[in-house]
Amino acid sequence: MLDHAAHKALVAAVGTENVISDPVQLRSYECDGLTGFRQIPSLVVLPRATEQVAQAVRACHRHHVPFVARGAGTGLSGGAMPVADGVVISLQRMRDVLDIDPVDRRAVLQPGVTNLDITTAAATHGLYYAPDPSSQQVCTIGGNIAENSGGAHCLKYGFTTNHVLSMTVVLPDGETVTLGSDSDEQLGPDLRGVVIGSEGTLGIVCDITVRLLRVPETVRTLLADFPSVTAAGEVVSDLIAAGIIPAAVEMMDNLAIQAAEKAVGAGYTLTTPAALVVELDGPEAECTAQFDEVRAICERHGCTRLHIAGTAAERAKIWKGRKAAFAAVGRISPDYIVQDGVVPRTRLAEVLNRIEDMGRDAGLRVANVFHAGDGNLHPLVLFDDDAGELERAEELSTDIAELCVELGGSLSGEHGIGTDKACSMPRMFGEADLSTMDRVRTAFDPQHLCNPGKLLPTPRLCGEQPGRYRPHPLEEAGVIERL
Amino acid sequence: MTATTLTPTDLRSVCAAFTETRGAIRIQGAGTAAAWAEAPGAADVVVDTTGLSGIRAYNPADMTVSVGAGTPLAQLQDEIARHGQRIAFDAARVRRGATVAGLIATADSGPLALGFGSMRDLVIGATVVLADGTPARTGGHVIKNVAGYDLAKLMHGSYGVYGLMTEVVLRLHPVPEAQRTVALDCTLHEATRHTRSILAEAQEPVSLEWADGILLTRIEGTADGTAVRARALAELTGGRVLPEDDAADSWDQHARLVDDATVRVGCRPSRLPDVLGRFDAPVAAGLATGIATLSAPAAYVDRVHDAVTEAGGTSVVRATDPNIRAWGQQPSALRVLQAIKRELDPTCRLDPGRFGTWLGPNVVAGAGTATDAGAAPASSVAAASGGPSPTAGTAAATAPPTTSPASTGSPDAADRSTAQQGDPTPRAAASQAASHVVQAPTDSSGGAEPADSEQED
Repeated sequence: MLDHAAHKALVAAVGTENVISDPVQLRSYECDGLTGFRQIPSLVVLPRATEQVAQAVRACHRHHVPFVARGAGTGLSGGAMPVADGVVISLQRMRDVLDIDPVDRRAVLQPGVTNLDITTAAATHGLYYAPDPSSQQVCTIGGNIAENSGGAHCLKYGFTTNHVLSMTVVLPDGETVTLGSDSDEQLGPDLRGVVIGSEGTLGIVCDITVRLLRVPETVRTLLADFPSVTAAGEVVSDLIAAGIIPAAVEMMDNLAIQAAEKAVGAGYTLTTPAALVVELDGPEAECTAQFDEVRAICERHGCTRLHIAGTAAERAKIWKGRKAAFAAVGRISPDYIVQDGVVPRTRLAEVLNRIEDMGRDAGLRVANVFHAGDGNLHPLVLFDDDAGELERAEELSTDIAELCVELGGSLSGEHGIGTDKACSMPRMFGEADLSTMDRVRTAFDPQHLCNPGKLLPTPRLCGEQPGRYRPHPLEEAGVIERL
Repeated sequence: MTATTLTPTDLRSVCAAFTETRGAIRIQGAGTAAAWAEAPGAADVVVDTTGLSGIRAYNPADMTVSVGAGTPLAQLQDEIARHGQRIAFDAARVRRGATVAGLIATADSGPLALGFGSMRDLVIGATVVLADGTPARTGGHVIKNVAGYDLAKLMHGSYGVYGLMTEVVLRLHPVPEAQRTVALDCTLHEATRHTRSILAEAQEPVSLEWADGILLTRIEGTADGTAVRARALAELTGGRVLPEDDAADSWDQHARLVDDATVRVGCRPSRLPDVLGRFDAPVAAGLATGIATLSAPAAYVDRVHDAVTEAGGTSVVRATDPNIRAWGQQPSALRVLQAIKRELDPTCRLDPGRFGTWLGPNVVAGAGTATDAGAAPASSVAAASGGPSPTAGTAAATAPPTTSPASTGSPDAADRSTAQQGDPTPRAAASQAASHVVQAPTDSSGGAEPADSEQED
């Protein structure tokens, strides 16, 4: 519980109409998209302006109250899970598009603007915002910054960090600063890049200036079936070897296809072992030639069906199937866990085989949907909570993420570390790496009030010995060195 | 005063160079930007990074490469070009031997920044040694990775004040089948208008630069595709598609113009022409990125700073002159930059003098009163646990306990808190761990530039 003085200061900061203290209403803030981790906050404040955010943070700082910033709550790593006896600062009432500048090609946004609304607002000028996470209809730009979100098109267009020019940030003591500038030329160290992807642990991002891109002249999309996941993987390798950088390359295995098809009927082949969605975009003169090359590569690897989207509606349908895959898995399994890990692209086949073996050993099914171009996997671990399979499923899911690290990859490609994977961080980073990150965190937040307990392992969450560091494979090979 | 130059060749010897010496350290690469920003202060120890060179891991199919941070970028480009790949980065001084880490530390970029961004957009991982010898890794070897803080970004534009990069992992792009450049002779004012009409089309230029009377637009793609697109751009602007050799010459001329610059500026693209128009100086201007360099005489640089600041932009000098300000406006988050300096280098050993009064020892050491608990360096032990920082450390004068294996067995593990700038005695030779360190006394009074800065000519 908050003490009376802290409660009063927070109410004064945002006004009573922007405070939630009713226990029933507080419950809807107890978790984000990762529903396994829950904690009811003491209070939720919903500021309407940057100054109110600053006032609320100053109140927390003065009264030593931990706080957690929250956007749409679609995060999948428990990054927006409240802290016991802490406050949630929801940015949901700050959702204005403040400016669209078609000449300098940028948009100024409040943090609660949804990802898709940026593109909607820019569309009249023939511009769009490139990063497009699957949850783009709901997720907010503030949340995208916290997680450094990518999306299906990030292989070609990069991540949130490559598209944010500047942002005002309320630091954990309530001071407001601007990080970044009007151009990519920066004054000294790039703090903007440090805060993007910091999962809300270094401050609260308010006004945000993002780069807008011109809508490409052409978009070509195809859906191709393959006799095996391996064959589909070889197509991806050949595309890269041919110097083609597709706007997107997405792969789904049979289980994921079945689920998606049941849910949205997007026209995927129910019996195919694997399918690839390949999209090219850019100037017409380039796309036409490259698209022919993509088709030839698909055919060379035994493509059993090749469907080219002839209209925008057909293209949308192909993507609907792909983007629905996560939620659709609910149709073939009572419960599931979405995992997020990355391996070097060349180890895709190996990791899929290992996942299959691990699933068999655990007696659980794993559906695979992934961004094949950049090695970002989203294995979906299917289980039945009523049958007591939860613990086994969680274990398998964690093992898969840690397997990615073992193969030279990363614990997370886009969902973040949050609460979910903090205890796995020592698998990927050594003590000196983590302590350096914590030194930077301390510089921003000496009182450790800003989303505490997330991202870095803590004894409370992980025990005193949060897992032993395993040498990176490159380290074992003597390529990189650790002292 | 004689400074000792150390040329470590691996991570271990970098750590030793930091833990087993005393006094101020200056990090030095190829010396191609030694004169940029604030002139570095006097150093007791110069750590030369050029011994940290060569490819450490490269699997072309993954389109990433890991290299020693002191590797000249041009050399790296040559090696990966054999596999049809490149680092999509072309700052002018790459031609003069600039190192990968030097390009990151100075936040440099070239004409390709329009299409691919700067080094900050291409670095996916790094190993950094902090002033206390702690070797820290950030990022990894995969393009898509959000685990942990992206501390490579912290190094971008840091001019060596936060640590020394020993190894850097970069993302690669395919070498395009064809590049074509469309040139148009025009004034800055006309170039501004043409830039808007070019960007309104869908030709996706990767570079768009006005260089003293000529607007250069570069596109990349297939041989056939670029032919069609270049013709379309030439028709649109009334320009001409340059033959390959002429295109190379034009970009080389552009690079030479940038080499001569005395100040680099950045602001909203639409405000750039006005700012540049106020000065009668040779200019290379990215009209779509808002980044430009001017070759203004030293006496005018202050006025450039003022004009850019007024336009809401940023500026930094590229020539040493103690009489001119190094930077335009002050960073909004200066307090955070100082707090990070206190955490990572509390005794200000690394490049004191860079960023002048912003991050100097006086500010950093004396700032204990500026923030409350912020002045207490987190101990490595508590840090790893993510718990609140200990209250035991009251100020920078208290050395944090170290868990860095680098300093194990070192007789002066706590030296960083008591390091006196007046003691230049290097101790590297006494350590077995420092066996890779090559020592060579250098006369630093004659100037900060190493011998290879002659490459600039």
